[in-house]
Amino acid sequence: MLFTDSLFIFGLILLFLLYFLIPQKYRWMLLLAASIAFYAYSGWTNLLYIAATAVSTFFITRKIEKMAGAAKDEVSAHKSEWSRDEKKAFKERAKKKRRRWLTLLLIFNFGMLAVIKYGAFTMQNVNSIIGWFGEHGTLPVPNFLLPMGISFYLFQTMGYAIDVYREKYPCEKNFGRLALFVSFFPQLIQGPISRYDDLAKGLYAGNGFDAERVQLGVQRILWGYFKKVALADRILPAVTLLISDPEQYQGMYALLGMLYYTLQLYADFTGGIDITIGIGQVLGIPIAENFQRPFFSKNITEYWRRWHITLGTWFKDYLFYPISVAQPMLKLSKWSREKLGKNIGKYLPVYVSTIVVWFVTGLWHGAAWNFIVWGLMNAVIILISERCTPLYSRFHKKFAWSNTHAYDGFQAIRTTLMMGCLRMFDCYRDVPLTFKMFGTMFYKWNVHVFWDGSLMQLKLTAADYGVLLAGTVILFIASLLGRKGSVRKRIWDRSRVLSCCMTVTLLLIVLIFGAYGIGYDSSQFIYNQF
Amino acid sequence: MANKKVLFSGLAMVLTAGVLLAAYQRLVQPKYMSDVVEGNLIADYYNSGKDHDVLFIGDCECYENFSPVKLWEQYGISSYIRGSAQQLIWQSYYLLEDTLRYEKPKVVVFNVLSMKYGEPQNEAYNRMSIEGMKWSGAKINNIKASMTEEESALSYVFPVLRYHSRWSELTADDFRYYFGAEPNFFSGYYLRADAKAAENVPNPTPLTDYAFSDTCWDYLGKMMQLCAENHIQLVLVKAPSLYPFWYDEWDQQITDYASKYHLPYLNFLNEDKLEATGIDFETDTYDGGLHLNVYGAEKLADWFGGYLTEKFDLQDRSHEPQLQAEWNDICARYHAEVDRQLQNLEQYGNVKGEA
Amino acid sequence: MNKKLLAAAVCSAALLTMLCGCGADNNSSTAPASSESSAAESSAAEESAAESSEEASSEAESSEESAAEQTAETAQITFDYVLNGTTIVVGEEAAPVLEALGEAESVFEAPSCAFTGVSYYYTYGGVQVVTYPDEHDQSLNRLYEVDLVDDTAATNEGIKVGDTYDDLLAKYGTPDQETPAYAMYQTEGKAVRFFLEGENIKQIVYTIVM
Repeated sequence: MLFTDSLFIFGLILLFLLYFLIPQKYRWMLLLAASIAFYAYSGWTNLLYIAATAVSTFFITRKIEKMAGAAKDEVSAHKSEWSRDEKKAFKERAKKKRRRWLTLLLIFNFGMLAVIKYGAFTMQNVNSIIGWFGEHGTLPVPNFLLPMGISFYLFQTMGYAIDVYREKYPCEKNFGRLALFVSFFPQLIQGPISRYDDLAKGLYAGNGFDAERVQLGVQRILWGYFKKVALADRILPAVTLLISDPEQYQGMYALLGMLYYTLQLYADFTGGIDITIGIGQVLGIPIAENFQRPFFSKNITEYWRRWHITLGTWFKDYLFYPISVAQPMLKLSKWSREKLGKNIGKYLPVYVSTIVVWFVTGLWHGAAWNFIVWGLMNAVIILISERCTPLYSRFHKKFAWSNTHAYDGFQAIRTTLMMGCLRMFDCYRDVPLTFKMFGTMFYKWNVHVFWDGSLMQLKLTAADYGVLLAGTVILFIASLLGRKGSVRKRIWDRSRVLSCCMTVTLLLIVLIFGAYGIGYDSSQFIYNQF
Repeated sequence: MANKKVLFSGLAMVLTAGVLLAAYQRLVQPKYMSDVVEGNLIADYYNSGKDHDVLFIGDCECYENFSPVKLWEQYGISSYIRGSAQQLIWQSYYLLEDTLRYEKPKVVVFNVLSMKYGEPQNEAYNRMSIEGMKWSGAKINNIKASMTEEESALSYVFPVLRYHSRWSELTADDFRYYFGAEPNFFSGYYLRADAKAAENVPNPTPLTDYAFSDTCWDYLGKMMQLCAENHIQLVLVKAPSLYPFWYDEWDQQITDYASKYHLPYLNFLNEDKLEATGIDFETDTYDGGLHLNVYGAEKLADWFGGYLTEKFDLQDRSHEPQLQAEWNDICARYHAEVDRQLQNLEQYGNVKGEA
Repeated sequence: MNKKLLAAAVCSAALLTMLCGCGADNNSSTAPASSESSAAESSAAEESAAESSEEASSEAESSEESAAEQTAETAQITFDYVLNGTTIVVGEEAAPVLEALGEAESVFEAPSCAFTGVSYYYTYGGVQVVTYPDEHDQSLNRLYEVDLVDDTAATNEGIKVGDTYDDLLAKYGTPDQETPAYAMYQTEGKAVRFFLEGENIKQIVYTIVM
C-alpha cells in the first residue's frame, strides 16, 4: 500500500478517530492491529518474514538479558571468593556466550535479508565468474519478491537487539509491544530507522488528543503530501523520460535529468518522512527526524549528517564503531603504525572502517554494482575531504571572503551539485553508462536545449514548470524559516485561526496541485523497494 | 469547554475546505459548451418535462439520427433521446432505470450498435455518459459496470479528484457557465444543418469473431425484462449510419434474438427501409454517412413516427396544454437553430460561425 | 582460528565478486522512480518462471519440436506489407508512410463519437490503409490495418485475393489460428489474416494484435 492510496488515507482517518475514542491502554494494540493489516495488504506471505524477525528477536533478547542477569548474580554470589581477574574472566566468558546468541540472531535475520535481497545479485556474479573459465554460468538465480520495508524494519530491530546486548536498556517483555516496535506501519515504507528507547517513549503511551499536537501533526502530513504529490509525482515523467533513453538524452539533458532527479528524490523521500513523522505527531509518538535541510550542507560530511540521518547514525553506531574497536582492526592499526609510519598508520583503521561502512551503505540501497560504486565514491570523497581539512582551515584563515554567507551559499550549491552527480549512479543503474553520461555533460555542449523549446518536450507543460518552480521556492523559504525552529509551531503560537487557515490551505494545495489521478502515473516512493 | 472549541474548530475547517473545494470543483468541471457539447446530454434530461411517450436510448446514432421535433410536429408524439457519445449497453440499461424513476414511456427504442462493445472502453466517454446522472442506485451500478482499470469510483463521487488539474486549462466557458450550461439540445437531439455527401465508404474489414459478448446479451435481456415489468414496448433499431460497419453476421444475431422474443427490430440500413424513409446519403448526412443531418433525421422521424403510431397506438398529444407549452419552446429553439446554422454556413462556411 | 578462516573466505569471495561484477550490465534500465517495479518485476519474473517451468515439464517433446518448427516458419513470414516500395508497419506513426505513398485515390474520414480522434481509410488501388488516433495524443495518427481487397495486390509472399487455401498453406505453412472463415498468422503485436469464402481467399488483412 502506498501513502497515496485512497484506502490508506481513509484507513488513516479512521485510525485517528478510533485511537482517540478507545481507552488509553488499548491504543497501542490498535496500532499493532493497524500495522498488521497494513503489512498484510502487501501479501499474507510477507507477514511470515516480519513475524520471523519479531519472534526471533523477542526470544533471543530475552535470553540474552536473562543470561546477563544470571551472570551478574553469579558474580555477586562469589564476590568475596573470586579474585578480580577471575571475575573478569568469568564476565568475559559470559559475554562471549551472550554474543553467540546475538550473532545467531543477526545471522538469521541478516541472512534472510541477504538471501532475499542479494541472492540474485550474488548468483549472477558467481555465474559471471564461472563464465570467465569458459563454462556457462548456469547456477540458478533466485528471484524473490522483496517483503515491503525489510531493509528498514530489519535494521531497526537488529539495532534494538544490539542495544539489549550492550545493556543499554532492558528488553521488551511483552511480545505484542515488541511486534509493534518492529512493524509500526508509518515507518515500514521508507523509515526512519528508529531507536527503541526513543520510539518507546510515545509508542505505548497511548497519548490522548491534544489540539496543538494534532493540528501540527496534520499540517506536517499535508506538507509531506504536498511535496510528494504536487512536486515529486509531477516531475517524475520527465525524470523517467530523460533516464530511459541515454542515447538521445545526453549533455545538458543529462544535467537536467540529474537536477530533476535531485528535486524528485528530495521531495519524494522527505515528503514521505514528513507524512510518517506527522502521523506520529498526531498519535503522540515522537519519531526521529531524518533530514535537516540537507541542501544547505557546505560539504559532503555535513551532507551525510543531514540526509537520511537515521541510516547514517545506525551505521555509525552498529557498524563503524564496532569495526573500529574490533580486535582485527586494532591489530591492523598496530601493524600499520609499525610498517607504514605513524601518519598513515593512525588513519588506516578509520579509512578501512569508512570504506567498509560505505560499501555496506551502497549495498543497502540496492543489490547492484552501481549502488556499491556510489557508496565507495562517497567514501573516497569523504576521506579526501578529511585529509584536506588542514588545507581548508588554512584557506579559510587566509581569505576573509571565504567566511561570508555568499561563500556558504556557494559551498551549499557545490555540495548539492556534487551529490547530484553521485546520484547519477542511481539513475542509470549501470556503472560505465553513468560515467559516460557524466562525461557528456562536459563534451556534448547542447546548451540550446534550455531555450529552443526542448524543455517543453520532456512531458512537462508550462503549468507544470510553474508549479515546480513555485514549489521549489516555497521549499527553500520554508527551509530558511525552519532554521529558527518549527514554522508550524510559530504560526500556532501566533494565532490559532491562522494555523487553521494554513491547514485548510495546505489541503487545498495538495488536492488542486497534486499530480494524481487520470493522466498521472502514481508512483511508489522511491525508497519503497527497500 | 476546550473540547467544544476544538470540535467547533475542526468542523469549521472541514466545512470551509468542503465549501472551497466544491466551488473549485464547479469551476474545473468541463462545461461542454464549445468543443465537445455532447457532454451535457445526460444532464439535460432533468430539465425536460419528463412526460414522454417514446424514449430513445443509445449512442450518437440515436441522438443524431432521429428528430423528436419532427415526431411532435407531425404526430404529436412527445419523445426524448437519452443518448450520449459511445453509450455502452449497460449504460443504456442504467439510464433507462434512471429515467423510469421519473416517468414511464410507452415505447423504448434502443439502437443496437453498442452490442459490439462488451467491455469498458474509454474514460472520457464514461464521464460524458455518467457524470450528468443524478445520484441513484442506477448511477452507482453504472459507475461500477463502466469503470476502466485506471479509474476510481471516488473520482465520480468527487469529480474534483478527476478535474483538479484543469486550473491550467480554464477557458472563458468555465466562468461563463459556472452556474449551469445553456440548453444545447432539443429533447436530447443534436442538430446539424450542414451536409457532406457519403463517398468512398470503405470495404468492411471482416472480423475473426462476430459473437457478441455475454455481458451484452445479459444487459439486453435485462432491458427487455425491465420494459416488460413496466409494460413498456421495447423496439430494437439499427440507425442508418454507414460507419462503424454493421456486419450481416451481427444483424442476423439480432434478428434471431428479436424473433425469439417477439421484439420488433428495424435495420434502417436495409434497402427497403432506406427506400421507405427516403434517406439520401448525398444530402442527408453531415459527415459523409456516419450521422444524418437535420434533414435526414426528419425523414427518418417522419417514417418512424408513422410506424410507432400505427404499431403501438400512440396518441396525438399535441393539444395537451402542458406539453404544448414545453414543445413550443423546444420547436422554436430548434427552428431558430436551423436558421442560425444555415446563416453561419453561408457566412463562414461552418455551422459554428467560426471565422 | 576458525573465525579467522571464515573471515578470510568471506573477504576473498567479496573481492572476487567485486572484480568480476564491475562493469557488468545491470538488466534494469528503468528510471529510479520506477524501481518500485523491481518488486513488481521480481514478482512477475517469479510468476512467469513458475509458469514456464510447469509448461516445460508437462509438454511432450514432440510438441516442443513442432513449436520450434512453427516459430522457425512464422519467423520467415513478413508482417509488414510493402506497398509501392513503402513498408507499412502497423502500430507505427502514419504520417511518414502516407507521405511516401503519395496521394490516395480516395480518403474516408471516420470521426469517433464526439470527435475525439479520427480514423482514416486511404485507398490505393486494391489496397486500403487504415489509421487510428493514438490513445494518448488524439492528433497523432498511427497505422492500424492494411486490407487487400481485390486480386490486384499480392502479399510479399505472393498470395492474393482469389488464391486457394492450399496455395496459402504452401507459401505460409500452418496457420497459428484458423477456422473455416479465416486463417491467421501471428507475431508479437501484429498479425496477417486471410479471410475465406469457401476455399478461396476473399480478403487479406494486416493488422495490430493487442
